[in-house]
Amino acid sequence: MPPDLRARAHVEHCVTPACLERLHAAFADLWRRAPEVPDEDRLLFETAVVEIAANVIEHTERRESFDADVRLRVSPGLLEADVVDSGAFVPLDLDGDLPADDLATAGRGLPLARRAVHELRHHHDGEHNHWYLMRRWSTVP
Amino acid sequence: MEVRTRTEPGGESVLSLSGRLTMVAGNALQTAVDAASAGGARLVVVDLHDVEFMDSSGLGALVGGLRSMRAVGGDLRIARPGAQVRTVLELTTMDRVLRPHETVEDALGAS
Repeated sequence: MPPDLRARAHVEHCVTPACLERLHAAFADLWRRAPEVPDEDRLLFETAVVEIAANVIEHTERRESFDADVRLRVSPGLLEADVVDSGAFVPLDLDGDLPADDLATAGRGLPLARRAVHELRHHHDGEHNHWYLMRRWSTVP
Repeated sequence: MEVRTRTEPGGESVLSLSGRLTMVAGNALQTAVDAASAGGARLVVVDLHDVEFMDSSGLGALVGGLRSMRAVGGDLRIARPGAQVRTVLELTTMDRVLRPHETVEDALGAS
């Protein structure tokens, strides 16, 4: 493990809703090994990552041998996640706003994730979708 | 996620959820709201005290329940959300629509 990495976790083959339980377990283990991360940062980062993983599970257009991995890292001042899946490219509007209809039952996932982290990026390299999430944290108020 | 339903003396339904309110659990919530409505309840209070995590699908399920109740002239209210659920409501500005009540009794009595 690189010297400045406090903790990391890897959730493989995250392609069904049942994987979200494994992802929460991975977070619990991560926070146990990095207890210095403030509760609010944990809560917001986990909320965003689970949202993106759920989005991949639910909405990514699947091709043959679909697979998805989630990697989590805690380093000084930084929480990072990479979510990589082998689905088809889907044009996304990461800057899209919340639904205008208060009674819409969908459409809040990406805006929620974006608001919970300091950086949310997505690109497709021709074979894989790559999501990157980053939240800065500090023990100084 | 588990859903426990109790009926108040006035006919209101209180649904107590526990666990994680995510895409897996949305159907169970909708089923419980539909059952309460079919049983004559016009006010459903969802007690979120034991919900440790909610994502946008879970929020969508709450909104779906609210829609169902409004369609029959009723209402759905939420009570006792924890920090994570409250944060999701605030970040999505849905705390305007699903206003968190501090207690189940507050939610039952709110106008």
